[in-house]
Amino acid sequence: MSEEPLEMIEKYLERVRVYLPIDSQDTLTEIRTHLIEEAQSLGQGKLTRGSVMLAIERFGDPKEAANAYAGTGKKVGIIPAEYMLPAGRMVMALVALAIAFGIGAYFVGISLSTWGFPTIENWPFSIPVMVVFWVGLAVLVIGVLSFLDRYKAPTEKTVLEGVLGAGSDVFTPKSRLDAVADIVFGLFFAVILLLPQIQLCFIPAFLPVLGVLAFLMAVGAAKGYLFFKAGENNANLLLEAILSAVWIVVCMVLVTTGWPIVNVWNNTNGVWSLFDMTSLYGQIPFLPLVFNGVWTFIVFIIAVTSSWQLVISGMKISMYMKAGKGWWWQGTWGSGLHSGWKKWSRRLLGRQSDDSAPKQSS
Amino acid sequence: MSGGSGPAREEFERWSTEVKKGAAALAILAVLEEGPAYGYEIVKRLSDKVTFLQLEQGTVYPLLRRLEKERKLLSSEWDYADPTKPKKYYRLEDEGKRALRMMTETWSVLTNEMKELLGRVDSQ
Repeated sequence: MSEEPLEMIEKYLERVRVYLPIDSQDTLTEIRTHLIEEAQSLGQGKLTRGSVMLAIERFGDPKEAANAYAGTGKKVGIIPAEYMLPAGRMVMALVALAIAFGIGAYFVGISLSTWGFPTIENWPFSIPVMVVFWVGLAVLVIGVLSFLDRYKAPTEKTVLEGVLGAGSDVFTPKSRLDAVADIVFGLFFAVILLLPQIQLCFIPAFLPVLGVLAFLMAVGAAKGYLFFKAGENNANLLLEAILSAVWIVVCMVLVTTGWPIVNVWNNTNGVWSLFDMTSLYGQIPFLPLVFNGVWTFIVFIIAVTSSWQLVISGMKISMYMKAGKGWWWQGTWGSGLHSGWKKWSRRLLGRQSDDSAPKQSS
Repeated sequence: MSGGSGPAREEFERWSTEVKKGAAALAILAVLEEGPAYGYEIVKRLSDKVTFLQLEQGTVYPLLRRLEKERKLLSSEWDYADPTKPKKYYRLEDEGKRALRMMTETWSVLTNEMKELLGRVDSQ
């Protein structure tokens, strides 16, 4: 099969994906097969650009096709129904991100008000005013973006879909490459942290936490292995959620220890020795402040990413439960590659990405 | 269908939509009674055999999904024989067979009675 027509189908499916619920890989695979067969039938057995274009046009507008599958109504209030699903998903992602940042900020003792955020005034009158303002803004943004998209070809992703699909990437399953990275880095750091030579580098207050950190790293590696073998399912997501929750708790301890590294290994003329970093503090007085700032930032990032994982895992578990999936099944993997890389990998390897692989059975 | 516009045409359109809606599930179940089939195959068979219903993919796939997931009349299984085109095969479950039998009986009673009634309308 030639590559270009297939790419047209993939692009169309990307457009449909924007308007579908998160767990819609089966649907997309079914549509993909339909389009290929229809295009082959129209092209007398061959997949050509023309036959693919015709098959796509017959399948119809991505919004309507997706809505037919998703089973939503025509309008929700004054917002077109087809925009509710992706917009809701994007809002969910933003709320989750805000929660993650809130938790991270809380653990490092930063209040949002210190960053100049205003406090809510004129409550509760401000609520309907803000609702009307945001709905009006949403309608305006959708209107302007739809106007910009008016000459786009059916296979081209529109600007509006790009905007609405912005939050959807976080819901794609973990890729096998990411799972391998979890295994490798988890095991590597677990072993490193337990080495006596490395433990000499840390302040005494940090040493009781080291064992816990190494254990969490090892559990992270085990989690990576489970994702690598079974893909995304509720059991794996639950493990990820629990692990993230534990990391958040550990952050509460980590932030209190301050910068933990007191010695670094130094090689002079082939001889290894420990260099005491506190000896620098006398020469550079602000150095402890810088190190503590860096440490706070690291802990903040760990707390944010863990909170993010916790919220997203929670959303996914509830979504899969609603779909009656239970706890364990052979799940799918994301591609874990940037779209440009995905295209090149398809060209080089001549295969479809894992993203388009359906589940074993339904 | 000849027509023009006006209330008669509008009523016909409404009636036609309702008939199609009611008959679509029966047509799908009847196709699957012949044996398991995948989405594209079902769409093709339906568009060849029941032209009046004009059952296209936009109707067939969502209906297949509802008959499978919500109404439990169908089950499905993926076939990977051609990895470039995995096919989701649908088959009738026992409940689907029962539903088909009941719908077929009702349909034949309805068509016989309507035939008789419309015969009288024609002869007037």
